[in-house]
Amino acid sequence: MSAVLEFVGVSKWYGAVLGLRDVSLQINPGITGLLGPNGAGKSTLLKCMTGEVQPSRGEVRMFGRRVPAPEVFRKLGYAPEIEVFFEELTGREFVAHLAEISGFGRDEADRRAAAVLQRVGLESAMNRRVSTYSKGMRQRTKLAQAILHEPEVVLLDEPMTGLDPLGRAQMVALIQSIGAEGRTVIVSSHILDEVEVMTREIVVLYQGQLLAQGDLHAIRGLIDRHPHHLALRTPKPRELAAALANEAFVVALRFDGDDKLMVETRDPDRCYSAVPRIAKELGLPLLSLTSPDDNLGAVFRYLTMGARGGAA
Amino acid sequence: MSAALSIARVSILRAVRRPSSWWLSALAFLPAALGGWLGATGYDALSVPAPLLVYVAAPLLVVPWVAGVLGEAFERRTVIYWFVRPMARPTALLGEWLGAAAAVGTVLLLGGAMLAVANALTGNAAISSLARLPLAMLAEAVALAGFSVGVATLAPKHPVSVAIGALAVTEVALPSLWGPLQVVSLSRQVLILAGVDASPLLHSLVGEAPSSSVGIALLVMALFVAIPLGLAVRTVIDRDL
Repeated sequence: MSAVLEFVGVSKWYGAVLGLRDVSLQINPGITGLLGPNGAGKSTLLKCMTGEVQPSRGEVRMFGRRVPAPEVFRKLGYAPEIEVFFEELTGREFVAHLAEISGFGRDEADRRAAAVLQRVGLESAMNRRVSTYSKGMRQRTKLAQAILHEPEVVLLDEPMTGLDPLGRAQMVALIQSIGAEGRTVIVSSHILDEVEVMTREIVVLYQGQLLAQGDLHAIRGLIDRHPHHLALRTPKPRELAAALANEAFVVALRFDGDDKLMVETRDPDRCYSAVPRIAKELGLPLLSLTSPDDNLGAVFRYLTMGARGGAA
Repeated sequence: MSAALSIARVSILRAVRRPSSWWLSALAFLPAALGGWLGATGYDALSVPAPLLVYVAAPLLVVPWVAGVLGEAFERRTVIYWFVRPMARPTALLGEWLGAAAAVGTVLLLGGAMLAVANALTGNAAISSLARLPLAMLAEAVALAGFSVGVATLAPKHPVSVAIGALAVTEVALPSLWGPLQVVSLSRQVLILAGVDASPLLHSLVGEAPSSSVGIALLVMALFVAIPLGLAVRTVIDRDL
């Protein structure tokens, strides 16, 4: 079965500036986080999916069809990163207008607009002009127009920008509910925590290059040349450190306070199994064993450090 | 086609709600006021106000209204909301043209009608001018709207200045260079359709006009729209946003 979205050797230059470099990837149903710092090429990647920009080389396929094509647009919803609309219209008029362009009759378009604006929590503001909307309301309006025609693929470019913590939580819940409907949702962000709460399936871009793709843990497995960190809490960390120093899988040891030992290892699996055993042999209670690496922030740091190092 | 009509309807709605549309619309009625005053004081109510309406007021009304707004839509990328829908991109241009033509056409039709009425009331009117002038203004509105949509698509960064510059060339520079080049002037064709003789003031600006027919006038107007709009359609299909 072919992927919903497929990039085949896609490169994009804006004059002399590189937007994407030879990106090949496949995206399947569910929520995928598109990660990278500002300027990494996330928006260019999304724009290639919408036909907003044409790749300089390679091609993008959606459901096996080359983008852009009208048939593809029937199955695609897109919330761009821009925060402007047709400011003279009300939210309901704006969304209903786009529903009409998507092929619905006027009555059906208006009904859908009202329903989808209600779903994103804008029922009380839908009859106000969008020029009066806050940033959060604009993000919701963008999401509403992206899903009004129940597309199979939803592309969301930085949907959390400008939202307060409550707004973020609500937006995450909305995106998760869209993903739970079996749609393919791609969410771009440069803030790792945002994506982490939505999905573990990520695509990492850096300087126009695909750095990594897959499950967060699978990606961690790829970065074996970077040491992993484990944090141990025990009443006598120096005794435990002395024992661990003889183990080949340990790269470095560092004390952090009176009861905390940080271990750097190139073989986290062996480390996870060996540390409790050694602590038991020494008669030391192990109060906790955690990995501060187990979040996207650490993975992203490793990956981008690798890219910088490779480029240097 | 329903997508184009929806875009046209929204274009009209947005224009009605923009305060600038109302200020610009006032331009269409100034020549009528001038014509009424000239007629009341015993002068020809058409010879100066009609060219003023055709050459000055109409472009100053239509170009910012249409080219300014569409250029901004390209620059701010709000067109993307249309372009990721299941319709061909040129449909958006067609819709914008239809909506703009309807809106500015109504304003210029009324402006032309008021000038014709002012002329009739002051006793100088041929009865045919009562209908011809407003219809000619409607035709100018349609042509200028299409021209402006084309220019805004081709030069979205500075659509108004590019459109005004292009009009300065076709309406003033070329005709004043050589009389027969008046054939490229949209305004000249509108005056022919309206059945209004260019005033001596106009002759001193752009020279004597060669004789022309309504058929040629319509053909020139069609080309005036077709060339920029055709280029715009080609551009918008392939262009990155």
